[in-house]
Amino acid sequence: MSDVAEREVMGEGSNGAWRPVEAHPGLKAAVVGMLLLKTRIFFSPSSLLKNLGGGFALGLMVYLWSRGNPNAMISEWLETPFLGYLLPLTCLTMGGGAIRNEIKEYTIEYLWTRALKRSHLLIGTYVASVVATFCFCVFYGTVICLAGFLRGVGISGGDYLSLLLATFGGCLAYVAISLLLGVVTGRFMVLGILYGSLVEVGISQIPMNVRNLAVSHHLKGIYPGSLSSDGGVLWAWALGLGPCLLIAALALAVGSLVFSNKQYSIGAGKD
Amino acid sequence: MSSVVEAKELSCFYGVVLGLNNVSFEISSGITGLVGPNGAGKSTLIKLITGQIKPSAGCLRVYGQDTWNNPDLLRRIGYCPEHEYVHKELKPVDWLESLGTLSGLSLKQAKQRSGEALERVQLDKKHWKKRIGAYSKGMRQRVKLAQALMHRPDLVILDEPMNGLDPMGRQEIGNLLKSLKEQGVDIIISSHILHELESMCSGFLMLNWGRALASGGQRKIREDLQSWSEEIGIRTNDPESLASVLRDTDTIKGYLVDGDHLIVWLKDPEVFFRNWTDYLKDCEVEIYDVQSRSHSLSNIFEQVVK
Repeated sequence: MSDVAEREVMGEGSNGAWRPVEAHPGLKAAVVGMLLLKTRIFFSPSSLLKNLGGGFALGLMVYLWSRGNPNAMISEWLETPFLGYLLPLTCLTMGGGAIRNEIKEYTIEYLWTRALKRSHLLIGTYVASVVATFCFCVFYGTVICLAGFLRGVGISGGDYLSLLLATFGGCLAYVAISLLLGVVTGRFMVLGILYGSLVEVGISQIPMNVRNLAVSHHLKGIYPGSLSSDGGVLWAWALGLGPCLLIAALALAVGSLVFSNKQYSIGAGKD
Repeated sequence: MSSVVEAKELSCFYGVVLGLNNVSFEISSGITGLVGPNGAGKSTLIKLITGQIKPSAGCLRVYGQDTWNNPDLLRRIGYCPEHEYVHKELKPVDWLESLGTLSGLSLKQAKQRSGEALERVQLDKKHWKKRIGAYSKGMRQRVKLAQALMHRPDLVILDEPMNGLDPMGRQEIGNLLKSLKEQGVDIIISSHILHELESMCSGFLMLNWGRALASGGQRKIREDLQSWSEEIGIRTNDPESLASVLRDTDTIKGYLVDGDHLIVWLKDPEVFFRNWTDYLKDCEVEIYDVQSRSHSLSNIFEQVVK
């Protein structure tokens, strides 16, 4: 689009006349706008300080605890405490609060009075939350790897890549589920922990197809899975990421439906 | 004059709590004041107009369009809420840029417009680098107003915009609203500071207990009030003598002597003022001052609520 045409669409004629945008913006504006807003909030100095502090405390803890058998301990730390608990809890806090905190703190009024469909606003919030959560989780995962490195346990490039992919898949699915919980209720943390205990810890242990419902089951298919181990690892990654994407899409669709139709009591914090 | 907002038998309930109860009214172009005590339904009406909540019954149209889930209408509306909550971690320009992008502006435009909007609400440039959390209430009020203006809406809705502003700030915002009106922007403003509304607004909507009591210009509202009587205060050296003369003219409903003031309620103001000099001929009193007491918005509102 030419510069002049773009100016016209955005409501700024050649004379700079006072008139609104010609047509309401779509999904792209929602994603760009929410990315700008949310990443600035998530990466504000206070939030960064909190997360950096948490990361270094985690690194120190891993370093101290992995004295006995560092090789097994680092791998164990990445598989269970990190992918099993830290990743979903970070997603629950950041994803669940992404919309709910706006409602609790009255700032949602600035967002849903913009010329956007509420479903677009939710998808924009989701994308921004996934980006921010992924960055923080990669930092936590890297800190654990660094603690292992200091103990003399190196992690291969392939393993690190599979860790990144598992983190990404986890963020995609867990943030969408958390966002849905946050859209439905102010008590999303309680509901999220309940969901985690029942589905992610409970159902994922059942050796039947029903465990496919658990995101954690699919993450185990992605990590550990080194590129050098065998040629089928790419297929394993795709098989792990695919269901994560599907679960995310489903949670996001339900979340959009609820968010578009539900009337919220702003500031109440719970419904 | 075209109607900006049109409500027909509009009701809104929060469970069993009444927000608005079967109200019908029209709001025309220009600056319209929403007047009513706490709990009158002003904020509910604003939330309905801005599409934040759905009407429980009846019909509400803004520029001829439904309000609920209607982004096409929202692009024409700028909204400044009553509360002072903002994304306080952010600097004003960053916040406005994000909101501008959400309103459909390109990044470049959002950046440019956020500066323009902050200049327009007269937020001192030296404060632009601070986080909004460090702002005073008055400064936050200006930033909130800027976010409502930056996408150049046709209708600006302001819920108690003068809260937290000093007298100078109120005057500046009042002037800004008047200049917006001159640019053709329609404004709906809710405020408890009635004398400030009075100086700005061409029309009013008076609400109480979820009902619309009156709407239109001050003159129309006065005419609509059947029990309305013009009230004037006369400062004189002999209020008792003047009262006895006026009582005999049969043009007043009643009077009250208050020190050197005679307060008179008129039956027919037109007849009274036509013959006013004749009445004075009949008594030898000195008149120092005559003032209409019933033209103030607060007086009209008191009458309407009665």
